[in-house]
Amino acid sequence: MSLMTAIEIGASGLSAQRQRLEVLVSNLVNANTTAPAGVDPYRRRDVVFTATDPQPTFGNALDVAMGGVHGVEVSGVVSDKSDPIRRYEPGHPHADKDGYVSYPNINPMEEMVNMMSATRSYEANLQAVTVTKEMALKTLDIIR
Amino acid sequence: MEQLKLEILQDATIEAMGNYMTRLSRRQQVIASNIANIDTPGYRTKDISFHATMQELLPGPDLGMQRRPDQLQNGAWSFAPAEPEVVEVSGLPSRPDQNNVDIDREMLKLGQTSFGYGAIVQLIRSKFRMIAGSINEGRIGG
Repeated sequence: MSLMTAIEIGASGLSAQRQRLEVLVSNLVNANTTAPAGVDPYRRRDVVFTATDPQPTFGNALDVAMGGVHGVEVSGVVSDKSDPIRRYEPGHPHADKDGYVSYPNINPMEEMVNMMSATRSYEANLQAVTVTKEMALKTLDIIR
Repeated sequence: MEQLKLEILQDATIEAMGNYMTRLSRRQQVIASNIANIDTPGYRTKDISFHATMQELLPGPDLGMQRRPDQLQNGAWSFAPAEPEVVEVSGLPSRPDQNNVDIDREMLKLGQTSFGYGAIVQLIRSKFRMIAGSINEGRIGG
């Protein structure tokens, strides 16, 4: 069933974009999370997408064997290596001996833009799944 | 009567349209693959070699209305075309991560494929209605 393979590929895209959105939201909510002096603060995370062969099932074995089409998966979540932002806040309970507090190097604007991108990609995948489903339903019209 | 049976049940146009549907579903997979990998670094846009293979779908210069005797092999009509080939699309601008998926192009292709699929389904339906009409002495849909 070729069309089912197309739906599975679209579903892999939906899943990957949702995971990306989860990571981005985690970045956004932790933009101001500090840690006690000496402890590494939260670091900005990002997902790594990799193209994969669709999960082989009985129904799509031929399609997978023919190759050329790929789903997507989140192959890893990486942490940003950039240095934390240090702000002088001597009264803060997480301040070090010089009075500096380490904040994660997160730009909320950047995260918002990435979230929009993830949302649009999710919608595109959803559209692909919807159109493919309509095509499969149209096939039933032949015998109606 | 033998000749009539062959013409109705193993009709060249129905078979050609069936092949076309297979190709459209294969293309749908490729488009879904492109859309799913829109944010994958290094992914290159793919498509199937569509128009190059269209000629293969047609059984002969007579546009499939009549089979040639040389297409009768081992007692069965056969002109199965080669599998559609997945090719990389050239000429699309790459982003810095070497990904060159263009969402507008993919959405356009998605629409084209769906529309073409719907059209071919209607054609097959009308073909079957014609056959049903001949069975029912001209009362189509009865």
